[in-house]
Amino acid sequence: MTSIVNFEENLKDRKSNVILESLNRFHDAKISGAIRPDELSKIIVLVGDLFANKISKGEVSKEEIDETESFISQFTGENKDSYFNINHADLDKSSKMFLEGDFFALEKYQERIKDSSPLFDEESYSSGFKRL
Amino acid sequence: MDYLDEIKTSLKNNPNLNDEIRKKIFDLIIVIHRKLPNVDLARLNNKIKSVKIGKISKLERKGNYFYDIFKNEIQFSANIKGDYDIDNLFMQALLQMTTSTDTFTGFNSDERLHALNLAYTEILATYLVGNEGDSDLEEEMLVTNLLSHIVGKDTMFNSYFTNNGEPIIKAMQDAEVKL
Repeated sequence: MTSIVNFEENLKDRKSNVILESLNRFHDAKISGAIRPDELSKIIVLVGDLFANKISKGEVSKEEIDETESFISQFTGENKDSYFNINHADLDKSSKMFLEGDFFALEKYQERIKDSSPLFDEESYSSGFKRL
Repeated sequence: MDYLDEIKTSLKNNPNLNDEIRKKIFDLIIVIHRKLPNVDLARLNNKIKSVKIGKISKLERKGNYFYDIFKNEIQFSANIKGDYDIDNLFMQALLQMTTSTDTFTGFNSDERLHALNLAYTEILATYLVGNEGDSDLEEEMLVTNLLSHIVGKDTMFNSYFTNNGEPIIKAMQDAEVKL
């Protein structure tokens, strides 16, 4: 039982550690004159996971979602030179939604995962799901 | 306690500073006091009494400024390139002095929070005096901004001024737990 608890504890803090340690590595590399966009992409994806969890637990207000969407939208998608030109094919579904700023779909997706109810249509999302 | 009069005296009695620097530092401290009235300036007052201003070369340290907590010295790069807002850099140094312990500043009680702490310092400095120049920490500030939505802005602020990074790490770990 002890080993299972320890394993779960290690899993529990792994994303937090990876985010912080990746940020340190990114920063140190930049100070040394190198650029590590892979570290930054990893950070953004993991932060997105944490944010998605909070949305699913109802811990994020609509105002915060709107603010974050607006903030994220400055950095994703169009600019090919941006560090955030992440290959979306490599991401899991919730991370994609987060990076595309579609928080309404993300919230519904999380609810669907939780309730197993058909609230969200994957095809609608793929063809351009719009916020209501 | 209102430390402004004491700080003015401390600056005046610091032989390491000239009048121009004294005035700049005092003007910036007034901004801290007005915009963050609940922040305790006791440690800042203590540091102001003997702080020095120095220069560093790129060979010694990268970056445009560095607050050496052990020497109590604000060091500016001898080769600053680019367009930097000196008030913003000074304000960052003052915030580090305001939150300095014997070994670290802000919430960097845990080395994992090193880059986050630097970025948060610049975010606060920019809130206080703006930034009309370049920044070396744009990406780090982006991540810090995103994390503040997860951790909570109050938690970050309180952690910074109480030198305790644990609430930040705990909030991130709590956010990992799915329903």
